[in-house]
Amino acid sequence: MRRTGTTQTTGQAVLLDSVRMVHGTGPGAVTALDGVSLGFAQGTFTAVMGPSGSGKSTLLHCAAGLDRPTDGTVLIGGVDLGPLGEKALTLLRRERVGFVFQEHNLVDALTAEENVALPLRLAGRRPGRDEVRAALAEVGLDRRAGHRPAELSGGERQRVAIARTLITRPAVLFADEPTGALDRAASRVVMELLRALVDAHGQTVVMVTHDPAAAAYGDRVVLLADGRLAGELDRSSATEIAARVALLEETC
Amino acid sequence: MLSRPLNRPLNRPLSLALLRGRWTGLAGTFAALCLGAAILTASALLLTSAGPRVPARYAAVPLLVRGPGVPGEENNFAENPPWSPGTTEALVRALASVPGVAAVVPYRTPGPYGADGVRVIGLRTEPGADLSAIRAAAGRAVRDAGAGAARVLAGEDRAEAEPAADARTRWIGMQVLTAMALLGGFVSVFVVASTFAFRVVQRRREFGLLRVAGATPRQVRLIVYGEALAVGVVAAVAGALLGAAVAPAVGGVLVTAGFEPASFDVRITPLPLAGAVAAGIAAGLLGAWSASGRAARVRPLEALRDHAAGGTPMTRLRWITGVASVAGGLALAVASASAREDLRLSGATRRQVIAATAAEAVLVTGIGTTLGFAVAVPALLGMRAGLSQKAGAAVPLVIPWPAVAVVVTACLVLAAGAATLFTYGAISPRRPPFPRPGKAARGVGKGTAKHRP
Repeated sequence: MRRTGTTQTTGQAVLLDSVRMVHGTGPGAVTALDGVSLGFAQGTFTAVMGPSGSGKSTLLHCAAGLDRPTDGTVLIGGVDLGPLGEKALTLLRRERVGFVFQEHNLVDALTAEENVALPLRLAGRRPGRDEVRAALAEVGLDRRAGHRPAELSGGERQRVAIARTLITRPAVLFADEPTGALDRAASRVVMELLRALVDAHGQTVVMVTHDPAAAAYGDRVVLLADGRLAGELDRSSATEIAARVALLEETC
Repeated sequence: MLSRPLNRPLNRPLSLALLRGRWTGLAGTFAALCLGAAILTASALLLTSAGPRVPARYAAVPLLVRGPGVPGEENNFAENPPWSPGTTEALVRALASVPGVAAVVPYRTPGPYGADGVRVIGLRTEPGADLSAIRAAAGRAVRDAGAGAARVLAGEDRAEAEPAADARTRWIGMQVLTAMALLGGFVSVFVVASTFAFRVVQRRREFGLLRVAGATPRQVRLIVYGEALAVGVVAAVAGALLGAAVAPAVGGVLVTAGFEPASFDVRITPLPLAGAVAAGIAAGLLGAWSASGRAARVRPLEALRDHAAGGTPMTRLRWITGVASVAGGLALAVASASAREDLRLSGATRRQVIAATAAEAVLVTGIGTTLGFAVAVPALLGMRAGLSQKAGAAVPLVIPWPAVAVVVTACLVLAAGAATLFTYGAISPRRPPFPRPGKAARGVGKGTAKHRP
């Protein structure tokens, strides 16, 4: 029973309901998220922005099932994560969630190809070389399959990480500052890749970023401040987004 | 360079794939297991070779008649009593008349209480004679001569006629070898445990990444076990070969040290080798047990940990302290052995020597534990203060008492084991002769009883 959890039809890839996250206890406790309710529709690309300390990374970790909120409900593909045990949660993440951090996403000892095959290997499947090459081709790196992370550039490593999330065809791809450690050119390649996944495959993408240029690739921008929602923008230009964020930082 | 030929299969075990280019990190584990397996192999080979032997003086005599009683731990390795001159004469006469017997050879052996006498009579047989028929007839002749409890020994059974001193020496050797094997096993398990614990700390970020990529806690645990198994197999096989290579030399040392009789020689047989390999692998898995549990508890978000977290593991201070501790330990072991010999020479009883040894083991472990806490607690308190400041809340200081208890107990066992090894040299007689009459004989009895497992 615990494994499947409760399933609800929401039409949303991910749904957060009154999510609160408190780090620590007693007088020194820090509230990172203070009752956030938010949905991410299937096939959309959402950028989450906000000043540092606004709780955007915590929001992403909770939404991806990497961390458990203190209060509130998180649904991924209609499945409530709350009652899931550690193993069931892992299996759900493996099957439905892809995650890309700012950097260090890859296991150093494994080649690009082995890193991409990892989720399938962990699921007990023996991935075919073609399948893995196809995922690498999708990010334009099929010719780098045998290279180890140390032999790849930062942008290439991020693209391998994206290929790894794609191989399981996840319901949602979370990215936490995916271009935070990249230069302009490499950032653009990664952002165009994410945009193409949404447009071509209807992939749902949720991305935390502080870079207005990256956020401009999203269908909408969600603004967060002090652990609360602080507004939303539809698809906007980098300039508009930058102005709005600057305004938000001033009022904080 | 752009497309490098792929020579590695995509589906080889994950534990091995993750080890690529990092085998050097397992050098400590390998060394511990290899040495442990070598010690186990040598001990096992020596133990299985340490059975009684047909004494050389009886090698040419196919049948032996021996009085009742086998020297052993039960009777303090007392030589069986000789036959009276009258019985000896009657036996020799009766045995000489057995058909097929070419010659009757009474062996005169020295005994305690100045009781020289005949304990063994050898029978030379005529060429081509039926040995079992002669044996049966000799048995009847022995009963007719009124020495019914005597036994007629043939073939390998003639080993029962070994001198009591040899039986005693072999028994002491058995204790030493068992202690050596146990120590080897213990030490390798603990060293593997600490090297693996260290590895898991170093690789928390990697385990976090695996958890993000969809590894369940159990899979992470299995990866650690897989690594232990891989190192264990290689190290145990290498150790077994090493052990087999050095076993004859160790056997020679044991003979010289008086822990095995001169007739002792090492036979290399497959079973002890296989056993030691299996034990070496088991020691590796056992050592990885607690570390694998810790690896399984790594949370996915630890993938975000800073690369540099944890700092350098071996600071210069730690190197100096470690080397100094090893040197000091060795010096103390040698010093305490000679101290015990002095104790013994100055008239201390075995009981007193053993009590002193036990007290030392407890004292050493107690001091070590105190020092350990003295070093660890201030550092932990410092970390706690830092963490509390960072988290903005008081972080509790948790000391894992069960783990502390296990380590302290293990150290106690190790100290006692090591002390016993050295003490043996001090309290066992240099040349174990025969039990002497009076006080000394009773003293030996008590000492021996004390050591009975």
